[in-house]
Amino acid sequence: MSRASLRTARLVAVLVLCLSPYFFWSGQTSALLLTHRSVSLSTPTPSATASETFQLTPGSNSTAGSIVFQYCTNSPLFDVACVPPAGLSLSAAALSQQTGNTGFSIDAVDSTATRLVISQTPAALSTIPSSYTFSNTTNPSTSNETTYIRISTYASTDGTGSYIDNGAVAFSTSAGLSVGATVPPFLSLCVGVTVASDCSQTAGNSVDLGVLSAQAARTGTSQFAASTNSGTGYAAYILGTTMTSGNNVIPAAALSANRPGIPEFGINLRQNTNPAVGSDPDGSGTASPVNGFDSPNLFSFEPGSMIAGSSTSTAYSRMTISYVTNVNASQPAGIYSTTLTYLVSAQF
Amino acid sequence: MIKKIQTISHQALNRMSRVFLLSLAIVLTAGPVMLITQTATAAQITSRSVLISSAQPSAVSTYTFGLVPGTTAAIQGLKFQACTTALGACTAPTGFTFTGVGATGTAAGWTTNTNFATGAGANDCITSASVLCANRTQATAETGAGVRTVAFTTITNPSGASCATVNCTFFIHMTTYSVSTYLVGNIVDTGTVASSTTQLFTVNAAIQEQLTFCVGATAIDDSNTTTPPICSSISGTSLNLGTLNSADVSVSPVSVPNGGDANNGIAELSTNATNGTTVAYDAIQQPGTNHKGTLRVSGATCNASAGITNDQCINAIGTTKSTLAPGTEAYGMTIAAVNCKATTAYACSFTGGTYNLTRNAQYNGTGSNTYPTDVNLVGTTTNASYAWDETGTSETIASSATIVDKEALILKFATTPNIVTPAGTYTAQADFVATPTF
Repeated sequence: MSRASLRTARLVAVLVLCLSPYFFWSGQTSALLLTHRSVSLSTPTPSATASETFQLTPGSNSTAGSIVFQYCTNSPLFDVACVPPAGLSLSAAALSQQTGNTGFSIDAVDSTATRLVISQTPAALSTIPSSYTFSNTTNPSTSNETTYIRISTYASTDGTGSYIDNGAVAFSTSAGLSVGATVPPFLSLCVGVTVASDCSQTAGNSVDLGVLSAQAARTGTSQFAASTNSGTGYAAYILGTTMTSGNNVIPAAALSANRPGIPEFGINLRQNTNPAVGSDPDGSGTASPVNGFDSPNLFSFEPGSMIAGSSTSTAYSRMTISYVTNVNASQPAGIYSTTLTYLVSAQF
Repeated sequence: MIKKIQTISHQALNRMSRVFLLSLAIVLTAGPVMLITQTATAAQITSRSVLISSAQPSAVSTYTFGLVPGTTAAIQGLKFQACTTALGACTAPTGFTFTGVGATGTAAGWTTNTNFATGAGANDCITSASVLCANRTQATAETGAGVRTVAFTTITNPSGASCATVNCTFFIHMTTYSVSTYLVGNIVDTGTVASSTTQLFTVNAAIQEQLTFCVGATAIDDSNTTTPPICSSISGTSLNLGTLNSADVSVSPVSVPNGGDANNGIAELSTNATNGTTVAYDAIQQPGTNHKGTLRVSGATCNASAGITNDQCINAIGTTKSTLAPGTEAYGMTIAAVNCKATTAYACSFTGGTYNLTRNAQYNGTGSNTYPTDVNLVGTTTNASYAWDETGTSETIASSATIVDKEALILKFATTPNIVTPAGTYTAQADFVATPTF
């Protein structure tokens, strides 16, 4: 090589060395922001298997062979060393959907547990909204932690070289919120001469049948209402004895009609015409009288017997109990009375 | 004979040399005196300065010269000469040029503010790329010690090539004349100012994408009294509506005596996403059959039909908000308020309606910027309306079109059982997601 050639070569080398930063710089300055970029998660629950949908619009029409999604917990800035989030795993991720600039597939060779590379045959990107959904990702394990995903496009098909367009998005894990409440077992009963259909009011605790007579039945009424949230409903029982006055007893009726002159004490839970006493059940509940107490104009009394009930949970049903008493002329004089107790039970 | 002649000649020459040397000494000694005498009539311009509108090399700038005349006299001519040095022979700074200078030098602070006109000059001032001549007709003597300024536009800065770096100092010699014809004999004052070009100093900074979003439980139950904590101090993953009864609507916070934990929910967001952010929830589907996303007993088999009350799934209100009445089985959530008492980046007030995170119309509490009165056990129809999407699909509850700084959504949950709602421990779970678009 001649001395002149050597000088020329040296000059060229110096020029190249001096200008090389400008070449590199020129390449980087063409990088634009990916705009309208976001990521949405199917679930933010830490460590949950999720799908992630990225939305972005390329900033330039540059030829791109790959797009890289790098997950960092410390910073979205590309010139800051990336610290991957603990627990994140992209190893099983699949590109399940893509729109806009399509044709990409996961580059399994260059992807890692915290970095996804999708590639295509290098082609110019369109500056149109594009989306990429990755399924079967595993969220970072720390709750309420922000994860940044640095997104960048490359001319190469393996995410190497200088990026073309870039931008970052972020999501936050969240353990979610759980709301708890307790519905307690519920059984409500109210008893009185009169009660409101929802048990909001009760009045009276005694019924006076007046002077008993062999010619006509003496009658009276009282009410109870009950409800329960037991799935098997409730059963209402009547406890006590028939009417007595010392050792003198008025016999209990056994599903018998009104028979003036025949000593009997009976009840039912229906509206009767003979004698005209009582009312049918009302209220929004589903409870009803049971056999023996469910027939109008027929009366019974059996201590401890079930008189009404429901087979399912029920709102308030109000029952009107009709008391019918007949005596004959030989019924010993006296003050006849009975104390009756109503019992409602439910199984939870 | 010849020697004598040579001797006479040498003597004559010696005499002549001595005379010459004496004369030369006199001249050299007196010269400075004469020069001093000649320039002693021009005083120094004081408080002289030049302000350039741009210091970038080769930039076209406006030069504003400031001066206080050293002599009380009329000033009708100005000469500015750009040089690379303050003293000695003047070399014009490379790239500097007065060519293209504006026609007028705008005067201010002068005894009489008659502007100067740029021109070709004459006599001691001949306009060139490095010389600017400007004159005016104003015979009034300049008096007073105030600073006069004269500004010339469209002057091109030195390129910096005269110096080793672009931070290049150059000088402008100023001469004032009492006449507009720039006669040497009418020089009033002189002085020199300096300036420098500087390299363009670029400051680069990156603002990274920001997202801070957290969900938890909070005792806060107001819009602008209590300052929400920062996200790192928000904790809790559950809240308790306590023991339900059909005579009341249980609305968070439910007090401890009523079985609750006195907590609301809170979701706090901060982001610099300028293209907006959405906050959404999705009801987690629990084990069991039907209505898996509502307030339910986990694992229970519920009736697929809507409005059933005797199963262990409390009816979700749905995506259309509604008030709750005691005993009419329902479960829902609302955003009672956007508490932005922690916001510092911008003026934010819930009651004033100046907040960035706007509530979805189906989750906007009372429907206005007033805080709901619902709390604990409500024996009447609720003040606020509530909604709950049990399907598990993402339901947006708030969104922002711009940045958000520590705005906290106060989440109220409300439920009431029917009288037949089965006993049990009921739970509803939801994920909350913030999706910013940068």
